[in-house]
Amino acid sequence: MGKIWTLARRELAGTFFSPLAWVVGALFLCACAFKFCPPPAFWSGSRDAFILVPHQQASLRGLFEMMGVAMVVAAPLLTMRLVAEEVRSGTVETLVTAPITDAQIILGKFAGVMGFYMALLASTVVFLVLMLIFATPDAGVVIMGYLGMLLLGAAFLAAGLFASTLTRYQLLAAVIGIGVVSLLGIFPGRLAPHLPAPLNQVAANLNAQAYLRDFARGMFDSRGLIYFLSLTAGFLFLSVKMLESKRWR
Amino acid sequence: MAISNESRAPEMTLDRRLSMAAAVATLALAVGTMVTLAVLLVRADALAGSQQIIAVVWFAFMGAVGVTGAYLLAGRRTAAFFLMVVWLVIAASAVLAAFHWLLGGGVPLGLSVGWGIAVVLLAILVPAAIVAVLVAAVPDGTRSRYGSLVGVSVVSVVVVVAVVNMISFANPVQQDFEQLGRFGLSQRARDIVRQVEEPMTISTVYTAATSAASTDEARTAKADAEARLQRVNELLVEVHRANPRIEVADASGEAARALLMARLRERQQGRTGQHQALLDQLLAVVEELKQAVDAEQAAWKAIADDSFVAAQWDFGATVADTLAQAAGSLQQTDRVVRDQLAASPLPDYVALLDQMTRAIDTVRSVNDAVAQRLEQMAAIPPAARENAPAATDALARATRAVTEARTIVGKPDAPDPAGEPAEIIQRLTDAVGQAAVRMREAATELDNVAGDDPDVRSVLAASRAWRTDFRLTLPDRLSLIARQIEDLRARLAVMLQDANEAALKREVADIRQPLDEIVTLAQSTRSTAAESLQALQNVDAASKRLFASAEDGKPLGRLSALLTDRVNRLLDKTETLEAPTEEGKLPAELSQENIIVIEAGETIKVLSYEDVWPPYVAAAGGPDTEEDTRRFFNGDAALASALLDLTHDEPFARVLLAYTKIPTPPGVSPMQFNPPTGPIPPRALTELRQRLKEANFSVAEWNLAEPMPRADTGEDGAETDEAGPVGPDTDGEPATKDKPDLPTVLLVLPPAPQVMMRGAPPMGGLSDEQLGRVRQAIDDGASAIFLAQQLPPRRGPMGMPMPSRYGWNRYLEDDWGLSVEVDKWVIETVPGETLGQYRLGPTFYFLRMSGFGSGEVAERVGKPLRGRRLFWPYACPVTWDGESLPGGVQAEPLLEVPETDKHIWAVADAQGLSERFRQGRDEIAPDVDNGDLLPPITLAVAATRPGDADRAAARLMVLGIGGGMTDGVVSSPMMYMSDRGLRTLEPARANPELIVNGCYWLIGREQYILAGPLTVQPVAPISQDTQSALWIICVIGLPLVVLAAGGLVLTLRRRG
Repeated sequence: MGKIWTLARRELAGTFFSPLAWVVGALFLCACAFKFCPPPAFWSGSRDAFILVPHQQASLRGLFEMMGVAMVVAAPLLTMRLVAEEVRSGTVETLVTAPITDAQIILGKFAGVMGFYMALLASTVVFLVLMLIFATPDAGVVIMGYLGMLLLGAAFLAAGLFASTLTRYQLLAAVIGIGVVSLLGIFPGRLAPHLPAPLNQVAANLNAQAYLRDFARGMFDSRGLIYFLSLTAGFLFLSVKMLESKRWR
Repeated sequence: MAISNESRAPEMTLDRRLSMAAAVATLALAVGTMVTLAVLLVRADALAGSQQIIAVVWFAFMGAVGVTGAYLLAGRRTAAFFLMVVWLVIAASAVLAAFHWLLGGGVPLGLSVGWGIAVVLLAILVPAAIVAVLVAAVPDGTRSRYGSLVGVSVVSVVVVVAVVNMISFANPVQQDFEQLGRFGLSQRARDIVRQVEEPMTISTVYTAATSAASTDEARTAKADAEARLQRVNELLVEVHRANPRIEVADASGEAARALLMARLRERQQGRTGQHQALLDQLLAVVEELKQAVDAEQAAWKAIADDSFVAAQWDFGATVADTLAQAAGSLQQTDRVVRDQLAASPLPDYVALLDQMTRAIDTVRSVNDAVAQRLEQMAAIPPAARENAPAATDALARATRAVTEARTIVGKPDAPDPAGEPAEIIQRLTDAVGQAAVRMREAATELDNVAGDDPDVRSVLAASRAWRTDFRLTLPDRLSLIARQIEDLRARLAVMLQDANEAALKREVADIRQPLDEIVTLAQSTRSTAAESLQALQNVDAASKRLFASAEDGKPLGRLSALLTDRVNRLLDKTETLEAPTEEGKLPAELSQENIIVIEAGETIKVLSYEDVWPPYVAAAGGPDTEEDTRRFFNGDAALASALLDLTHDEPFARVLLAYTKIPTPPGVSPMQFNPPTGPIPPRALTELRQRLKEANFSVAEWNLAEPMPRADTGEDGAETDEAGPVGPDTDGEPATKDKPDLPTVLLVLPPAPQVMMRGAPPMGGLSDEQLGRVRQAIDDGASAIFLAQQLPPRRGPMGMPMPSRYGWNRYLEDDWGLSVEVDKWVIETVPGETLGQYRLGPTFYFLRMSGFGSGEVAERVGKPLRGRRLFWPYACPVTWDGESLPGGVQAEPLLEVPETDKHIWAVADAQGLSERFRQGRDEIAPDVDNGDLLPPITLAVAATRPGDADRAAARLMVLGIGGGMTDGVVSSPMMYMSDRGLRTLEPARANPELIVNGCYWLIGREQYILAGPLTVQPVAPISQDTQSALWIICVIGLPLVVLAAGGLVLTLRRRG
């Protein structure tokens, strides 16, 4: 555990020292803010889709759903360098020959990026504060929404980490990661209505955004919990195996 | 790390003995499976269509596996890896299928349980064993061995992940932490959902179609529709969770919607099969009909211009034009119907049949009209032959008379007549008098040429022979001549009386010219009439044939035959078809955008977008009456209401619409008698009755002149809303079909105001007997809702206006201590420019109020309606003295104008107010001295009374907002005149819910009062400047702060 913690701290520091992480964080916040604040007066379209709209029901649900969509891109961008960079720079040799298991390496890296993600998530509390100033948001929705975001983030980051183990090129890792995460977070929801039974049911059950929506409306659903945790565990396992394969390939 | 180099001779690295064993097993299994499949495929009845395809594919796949097995037998290492993947996937699939089965899914491949167990076990164990053997065959410490093990472990983990999720899906644990339960089912809806015992399917069809003009608007509308679909689907998922018998589906996608429509079409065919069959037959005959119409059109066009019918009436061209129009209409309808049948997933056969019938009926009506007109034309020649001599004689007499008159004074160029001017004028006067009479006689004779039949006379009047010029017929022309002669005679008579000799002499000279003109006109008319009469008697052969065909009933030849032989029979059949039931509206309902379809057995119910997403209503007192485009979610209440309607056969209670009807006075025909009615007659409550029915109440009427209908299954007649009358003109039968112990709710309608007429007994009002019946019913245990609305002043004995009174006040005041002041009108104004003064807004005649009180009953009855679109036109106050209510009565306001709403008050002089509005007088203020009431003003009251030895405990509601329950408010747009002209507001569809909820409360079934939309504290008002500042801070400032922090960190790191 100590080795994992050490590695996690190193990764977290590495992430904070990466300009890309800050840019991703800024863009993530910008997307959330765009959803949260109604645009200025020059905007002629409907304001119903925004959150802090006067006289509209106060709910942070839309914000969480927006975060879920933003994470499809943000998570792979945050994780793309984790292993790919090590492989490209050759430091992976040092890492795999160090007295530490492959699982510990992957868990450490995952914990590190999760730390950064949690900091990112914490920065969205500013929207909660604004909502508290102008309305009374539902505590259940807020708590469950953040829980859902944690679970979804963990799953997506694990998928991104797995993508990072597949190649030595960061950009390629990001593209693969976005593809994998889209397969869970974008495509099932779009495809489900157009697929015949029982494929539509399978697609609907694979839809990560649907589980997040349940959390975002204040509903705890064990199916979502199991889904996200199993996805996280599955991708971490695959990542370990991919890292392991570098020893004998 | 020991990794052997095996790339040079891969075939040599496999354990020969183990790989041979795996290859043999593979070959055996592949061949066995292929033989089995071949046998099944050869037996024609063994596999269904799709199963045959699967079997063929599987057969081919196993063939490939068998070939690979043979390769492995030959020692090819790559074959081992292919087989490893294949068997691994088969084993994993078998494990998933087994778990799916264990968790409640069906037996795999539709096998019996025994075969299912055997196949699943075989499909897991044998492939697993082969995979194990193949892995063991790869030497230790090689890359292949690592790869194989990783592959097996990855597949195993994937299977474990899938199984864990399957288990969690089968046993979900859910807890809603949202404090208001906005996104779940309300407890009441949940209760109703749980009562559903029959399987049911609920499908959402949200198509996001939009008529938005711009792309941006379309995108916004689509996004809105998608968000709303999501919300609806969430609710349906909750419904399914609450009752798994209710299947839910999102049929918004093309494929799912097509399936749903196909299913509904199948059901619809059972209901409208006859309409469909008849429509098909009509469509088959339409083509033939079009050809016949074209042929007839050509034939009529070809009729010679000098033919009798063409020369006189231009009939050939007229009929051809009419046929062309009918053909066009027929063709268009045919195209529309065929397009609908081809394009619509669920054609409205009833409407299409009606459309087609009307188009064909147009052709039929042309045929009938032509036949009739030809018969009328045919009647003219014989009549002319018979009557022409008399007319000719009369004309001759008239012409002679006028010519003789002229001889008295001579022609204009003749010398002056001899004799005294007075005597000449006198003779002339007598002569023109005679001529005028003869001319009138001639006009009458000519008018009678066509006989007595007015239609034939009218046809003759339209003929060219009879029209001497654009405006006048021959008889008219003769009448005109007669009038000119009479004028001449009048002129002469005046001259005789007043003029001197010189003037008379001048007159003798002057009169020659006009008299001569009249003679000329008369002679020309006579010769024209002679020619016309001759023309009317000469009918050519072609016209005779047309007359004959008309007499045979086939004026349009083959077209007439077709109409008579086939089309008429089909059209007659359409008249015998059963009228479409309530579900006949289904295609129209299904053609709407964004609907929810509920299928329960053979019953289908459609929830419209308006039901599920009704619009918001602007707050009372708001300055603007423009429509608010926002909508709120009412799916919980709408769906629960629909399910309640579908699932309850036994009504909760019967609602009797108690009304008064003024009997026809003795000696007056009922056809001529138009009695005054109450302001809310039963026939104006169709929507309310329907809503009550949907809320599981039976609805009937009670004419208070009769005893109360019994609630039993008596054989002496039955009357309910299904078969019973709607209007007050149909007296109720004495009994309803309901069970005797069914609770009764009286919906007491206001009586017609009493009218005093001079010399006649007063009409309207309420008799003691009628009042006693209602009192008795309530004392016996019925509950009641009294409806009232503001009434204009009534006419007193001398025609003087007197304040109106609510007829039921006598009962309400005596027994309940309540009073309705129908002479006062509660109006809503907007603040004027002067403090304390107000202006009448364009919608002053109705209140927009949904802020129900906070009392116990108001909380139950009115809370679900808070924030809903409720309009109350012509509201009047309900008053009571809280400290002196009789006999334990307890009253509570349901709807009240709060004291703070100074801009709303009850006006005593309603007539004067209307006058002010018409005159556009701007500012008004409450006139308390004149009887105006200031807020708080109660508009609706709920009251309870304990029972005693003589009477049962009772519940009662009195609504001074009863006018809001009529169809005109509930189903028609509310109109008002704004600065920009006549505008409308969407109907107040939720108004009847107050009665429905009230009925639930009155019979003690409050659990069925639906929750309605939840009122959530909204975001507080934020000024535009603050919004802009927030946007800049959040969208631009926050990301910049993050970037700045990142820059700072990176800079510090570089330095440090």
